[in-house]
Amino acid sequence: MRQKMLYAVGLVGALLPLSALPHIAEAQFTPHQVDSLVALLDSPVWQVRSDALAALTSVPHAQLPPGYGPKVIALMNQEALHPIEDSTVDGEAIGDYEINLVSQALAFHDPSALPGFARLGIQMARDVKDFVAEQGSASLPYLDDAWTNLPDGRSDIMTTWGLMVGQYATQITASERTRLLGRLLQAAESEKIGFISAALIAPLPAALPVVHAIATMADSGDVAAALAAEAMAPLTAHRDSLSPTQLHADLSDWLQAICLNAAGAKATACDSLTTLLAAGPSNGGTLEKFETTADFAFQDSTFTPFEHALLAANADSLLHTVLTSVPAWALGVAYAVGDSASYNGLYYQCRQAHTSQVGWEPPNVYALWARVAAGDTWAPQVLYAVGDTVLYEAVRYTAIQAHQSQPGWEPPNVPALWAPVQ
Amino acid sequence: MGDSHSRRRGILVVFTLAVLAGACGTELPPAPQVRADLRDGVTPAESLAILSQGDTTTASPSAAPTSTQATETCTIAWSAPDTVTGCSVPVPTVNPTVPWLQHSGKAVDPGEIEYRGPISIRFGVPVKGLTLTSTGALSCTGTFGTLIGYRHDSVVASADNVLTDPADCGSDSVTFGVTGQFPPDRVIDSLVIGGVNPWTFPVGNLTGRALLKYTLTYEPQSAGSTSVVIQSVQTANNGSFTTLATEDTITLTAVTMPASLADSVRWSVTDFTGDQVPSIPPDSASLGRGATIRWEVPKQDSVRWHAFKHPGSLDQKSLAYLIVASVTDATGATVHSKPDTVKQDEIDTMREEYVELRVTFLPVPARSDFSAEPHCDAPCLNTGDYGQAIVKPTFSGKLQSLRTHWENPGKQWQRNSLYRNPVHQIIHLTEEIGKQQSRTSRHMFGCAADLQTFPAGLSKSTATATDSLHAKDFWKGLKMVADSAHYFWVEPMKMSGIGHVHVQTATGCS
Repeated sequence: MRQKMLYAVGLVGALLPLSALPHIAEAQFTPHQVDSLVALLDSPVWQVRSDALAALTSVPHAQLPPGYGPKVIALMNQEALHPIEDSTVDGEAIGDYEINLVSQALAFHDPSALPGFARLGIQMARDVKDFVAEQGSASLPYLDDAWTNLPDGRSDIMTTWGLMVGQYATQITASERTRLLGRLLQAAESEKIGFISAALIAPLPAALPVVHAIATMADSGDVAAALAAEAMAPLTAHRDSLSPTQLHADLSDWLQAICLNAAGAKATACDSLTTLLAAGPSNGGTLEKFETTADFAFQDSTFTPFEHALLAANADSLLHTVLTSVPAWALGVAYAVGDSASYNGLYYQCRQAHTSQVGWEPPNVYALWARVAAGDTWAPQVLYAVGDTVLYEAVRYTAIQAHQSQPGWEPPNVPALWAPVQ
Repeated sequence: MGDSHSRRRGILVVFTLAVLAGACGTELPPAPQVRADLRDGVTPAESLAILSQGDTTTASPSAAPTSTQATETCTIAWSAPDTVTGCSVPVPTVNPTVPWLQHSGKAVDPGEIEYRGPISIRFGVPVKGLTLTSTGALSCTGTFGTLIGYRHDSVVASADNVLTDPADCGSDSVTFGVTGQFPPDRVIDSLVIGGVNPWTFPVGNLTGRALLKYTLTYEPQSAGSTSVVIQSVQTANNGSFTTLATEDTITLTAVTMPASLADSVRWSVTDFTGDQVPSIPPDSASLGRGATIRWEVPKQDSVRWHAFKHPGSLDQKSLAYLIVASVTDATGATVHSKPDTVKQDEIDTMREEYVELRVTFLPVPARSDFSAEPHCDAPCLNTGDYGQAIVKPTFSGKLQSLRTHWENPGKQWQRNSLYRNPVHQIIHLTEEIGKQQSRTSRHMFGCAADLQTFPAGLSKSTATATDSLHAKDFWKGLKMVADSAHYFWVEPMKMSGIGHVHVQTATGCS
């Protein structure tokens, strides 16, 4: 009975050496006592290691022996790779030990702790995530390993990736950044909280449409939906602070991420989108086609809902930014090829250089102006290229000849120009 | 005689133009601080007998004290604060100390202090033959004050004071003083002098105030015999203590009669048997002799904490000792003091848990770390065993801030527990849950909290996949917000489970 009681208070067996140590309020540990405690970190009994480590947390760093840091880091890496399995103790007892271990290891700012931090530490504290993210490329293999082996820690891994692509972007290569963006988006469906966290912490304003989708998805659950809704305000504010050039670059990054290792129809769609986006951030016509192409690729299940939301909504957002800066058509203006003008709420692009005059208003002179940003649905005065896709009376058509549309040339009426999509 | 008194009275009666009024509360003498014990040949049964007897007790009838000195008359007077003359007993403790043995209806003379409340005198030894006299001035119409005598905090005598010389009142109805006394053989150990009425009164067209400057004479009850009285039991924490090396020293002081026996005082410190705690006493051989000794509370056996369940009572936990001082006079008679006790209060009882259970990874909490907080069943702040808890301001503030950030529609907030005393954390919860609990939990220092996730109460057999998913999202979401504070450390889900999020500090605790 007495032995049972002793066990319950943790003074049994190998723990007895600790009982010889003074209480913190009574005295400082002597160097010999500190050495004894450090030696106990080698004990095969984890509770002994735990008690010794807890006592050592009170010792100032200057009083710790030189080998202490490497020893603690090695121990943490070991505990992380070979988790303690002890059904006789409450999980929080192990948790307390491991928090002490990680916090002690973190104090040394040593990259050799990355294996343990990736598997264990990033689940515990933001400071650990920052350290791991700050190590950049060196951390990635360990995070990949953790991703494979610790499903419960994936939201923390995503948050750490978020820090890497955002606050510590200089510590990783461009291709690594692209890969991380892609992995974040791929995991968003199953790790909604992780995606929201990464989007906020980076921050990733182009992720706003995905966050919006999470906020409105029926299966998001109260917390994911609420957190997504709360994340929208700061992400929107951040996006609104970006220039069209920055938005365009952001969209380009995400397109690369989505298209990484794409094959088949996805590769085809990606090629089209990449070409369209290459036209630059101020070309309303190509942006509009970008959005349309993304829409149709989603309808074909080429893109996932989140991929589509990110590409189409950001293209739309960029297009909106571009269009709102388009000047209204006016008389006596010398328009050059490619100039844009708005007229009666629609947008046009100049096809021939000319000086505007009465009667040459954009909708009246197809030879001078082509309509842009007309949406997915077929419209007159638009320059369609081979392969462009439109909707007309709920049927999809593909342009088989380049032409400028006009009344009477609606797709079902001109089989030479349009073919229904099967 | 009457004329001379009238002249003095004429000087002392001071006139004021103001109308004065006032009311004062009454005050009983302070309760004794300690109780007692035995070792040194005194059995527990004897010690209880000692407790029920007087302050000076012989060990056996055959060893009755004998008179060795002539009767002494002690005097304490308003004119000589903190002084006793005519005998060798301790200076009584007088409250208030300023003014010393004086009542005044209004401060008028230089240095005079208005005081209308009761004057309490604790003699330190039993006394008899008490007589009070006064000089000053007071109205002849009214009441002239009271004397109430106590023995072991019970009233054993009372008397109304009378005018020293009623014939002195004359036409102005003002006189110089009062007298009062108890029956000569009435033994008391403390006295309260009540004030007169009125405190101010008309004198012609003016207003006078009562001024009474007292002198007390009395005989030590034990004068002429041998006695020993425990005068003080001093501990590190103003009456309490722990077995921590910096807090385990207790200083005992006794007064003997005759004073020459001071160096021969023997002490007994034993477990106080009036509770359920087996307090390990100091080795009697180590206590030493003399009017003042110091001893250290021995390290205790921590197994004792298993003897009771949550929440238990202080009667089961607080260390307590019985203390007796003894002297032997020239005749060979041994005299024991009234026993005294020293006992841990609630906070030091809690702190003792940290010492005995070796919760050493942070300093043993200071007394000031604790504050009153009723214990209760979760969810609540203090799920421990006591009516005190540690609530650290920084951690508590960060937790409140987390709540503010979190608590919105769709996101419930429920703190299941924050503080747990070591015995509850390490012993009770281990027994209740059937798994060994953490000995390094920061719940024991008020720097950890368990936050409920929702939907709550999921069981593996009944929870739907959607419920589990939402509970996991709740866990991850709350953890995400906690992370953003750059302050909390969170136990991984594998350790805490999805039922709650455990947040804590990692280094320090403030």
